[in-house]
Amino acid sequence: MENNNLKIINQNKTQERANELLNEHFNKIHTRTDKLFGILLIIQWLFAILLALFISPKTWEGTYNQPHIHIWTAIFLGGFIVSFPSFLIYKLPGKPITRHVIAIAQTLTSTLFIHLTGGRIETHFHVFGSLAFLAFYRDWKVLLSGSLVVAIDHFVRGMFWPQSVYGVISIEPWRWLEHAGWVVFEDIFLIISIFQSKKEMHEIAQKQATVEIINKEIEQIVTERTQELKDTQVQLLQASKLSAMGELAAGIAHELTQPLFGIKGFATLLQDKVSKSDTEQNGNLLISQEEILNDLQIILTQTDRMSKLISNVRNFSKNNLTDFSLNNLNKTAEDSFALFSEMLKSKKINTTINLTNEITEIYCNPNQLQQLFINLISNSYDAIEEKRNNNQLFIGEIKLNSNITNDKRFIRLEFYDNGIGMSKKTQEKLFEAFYSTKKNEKGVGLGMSIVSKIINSHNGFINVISTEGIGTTITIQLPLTNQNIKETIKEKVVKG
Amino acid sequence: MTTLNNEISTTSKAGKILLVDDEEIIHLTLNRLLNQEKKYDIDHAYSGKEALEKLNNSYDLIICDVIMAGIDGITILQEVKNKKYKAEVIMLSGFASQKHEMEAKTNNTLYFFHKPIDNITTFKAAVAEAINLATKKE
Repeated sequence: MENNNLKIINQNKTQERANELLNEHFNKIHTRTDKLFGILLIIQWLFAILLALFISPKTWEGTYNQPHIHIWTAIFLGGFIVSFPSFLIYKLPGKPITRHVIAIAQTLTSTLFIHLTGGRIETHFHVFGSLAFLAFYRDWKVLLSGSLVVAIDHFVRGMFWPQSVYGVISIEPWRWLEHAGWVVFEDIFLIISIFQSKKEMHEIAQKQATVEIINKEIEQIVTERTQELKDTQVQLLQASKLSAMGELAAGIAHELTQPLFGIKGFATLLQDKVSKSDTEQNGNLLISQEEILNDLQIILTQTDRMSKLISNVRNFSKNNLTDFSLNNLNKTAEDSFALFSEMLKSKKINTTINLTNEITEIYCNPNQLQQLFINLISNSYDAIEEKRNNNQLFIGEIKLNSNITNDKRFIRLEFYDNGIGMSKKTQEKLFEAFYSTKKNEKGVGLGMSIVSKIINSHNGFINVISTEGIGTTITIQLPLTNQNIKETIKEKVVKG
Repeated sequence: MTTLNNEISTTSKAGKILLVDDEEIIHLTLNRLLNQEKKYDIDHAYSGKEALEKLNNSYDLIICDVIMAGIDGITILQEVKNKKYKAEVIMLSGFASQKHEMEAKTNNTLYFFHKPIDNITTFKAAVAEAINLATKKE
């Protein structure tokens, strides 16, 4: 049902657009033909004056050869005939009234020629030429206007001035009908051709409208899908982050139990002392003010430690994956490692972080970069665990170093682990989505493809060197400033 | 550390304890909690390595964190049992998996507590029991 309704809506739309296109096309034809006739009418007028000057005095007045009334007829009557259509072509180009007036003027010009040539039968052919030219309008009514003028003219002049139209003094009364008959004969063919050409134009407009509407629909679908894809990518980043969060949850919980135990212990001690003071000392405290303050300070320090950890977790859970600003890269890296600290410690994995202090603020999205670090740490963790499966005594190692490149344009991060490493085949497919070597559904194979996307969005570079069984070094270069990103893009365009 | 040791009265020792944990706050808290009523002789180790160095037959009880960087609590537990020291071991953990707990129990840990300890009185009773057991071995 809905589909059918859509079809009908689309059909209506197509029809509307086809009509629009057809109207545009006709308007163009009408205006163009108007202009052609504008030029033709003026040329014909000048030609009529020439005819009057050179031919008509001799033919029409016999032996007399002098400036004659016909020259004035050519100039003034011809001018009169041309003036109306010229005005309309200038004022109302493409309008029906204009082409009808043109048709009348054109056929009147024919009759003027016939008159000036003394009703020569050959000049009558001008009428047929004019009608064919008027067919350019693809409007049969215009032919009607022209033909009617010819018929009336022949009839009237045949009655009162046959020599002017037929070249002889007396004629049969039905002579005008014979001429009109030939005009009708031509009109029939012209009208048929007009209808055929209109039909073809209509079909072409229909096809064009269909193509246009389909294109528009496709464009809209492409825009929609592109947006959906963008949304999905952000969702994917968020989802993979939350999944990493799940893995980290136990470690974070442990991190919280340490200060919590401290708080609980000292609160219990204080409670004990204060309650005992009541019963044993008649309200005098068993504990000095200094001691109380000291213990409370320990409790407060531990709550601060918990707050800091919670705010770190909260930052990581933030959904802001699109805004870029100046941020401390070292802090982002350290916070990411902090989330893993218990997990790494529990697996006896040593971490060494050695970050440059030369430049620390870079233009970036810290949430994306945190995601990047977490994916790398998580991969290293798994690589080390896999190696440990073969050797229980193996001690894992993760190192992160950073430095500024010599040209001062990039910060270089070197991320090393002594885990199981990667085969050549795995390295080739490393950045492909859904490629994973991890067993037991540990990963879906998005980690490194997300890393590569994040580096792209920062206009950075990534390089991976890995030896199977030995370890992996991932080198990442990120542009230092916003200005730097622009320059890099320019360079890429120039080189690309 | 020295300040912690200075708090302990040398006259009436209720037992000698080695406390192994890489968290300062755990040392601080346990030291105060355990010495609330009785006067234990508490020694402190802040890593597995330091614990192995300090370990000898003089201790009645080892209170040991499970997860530490480098040498972990299970290794300390195994060392105590291998060397046949009289000391009992109480494991203390916040992040330990089921696997860790099982491992500790098969290696004859006396008790396995999760941080933060829910019932401190029970924990104190466990400490007293452990020291009692160790002193009987002498």
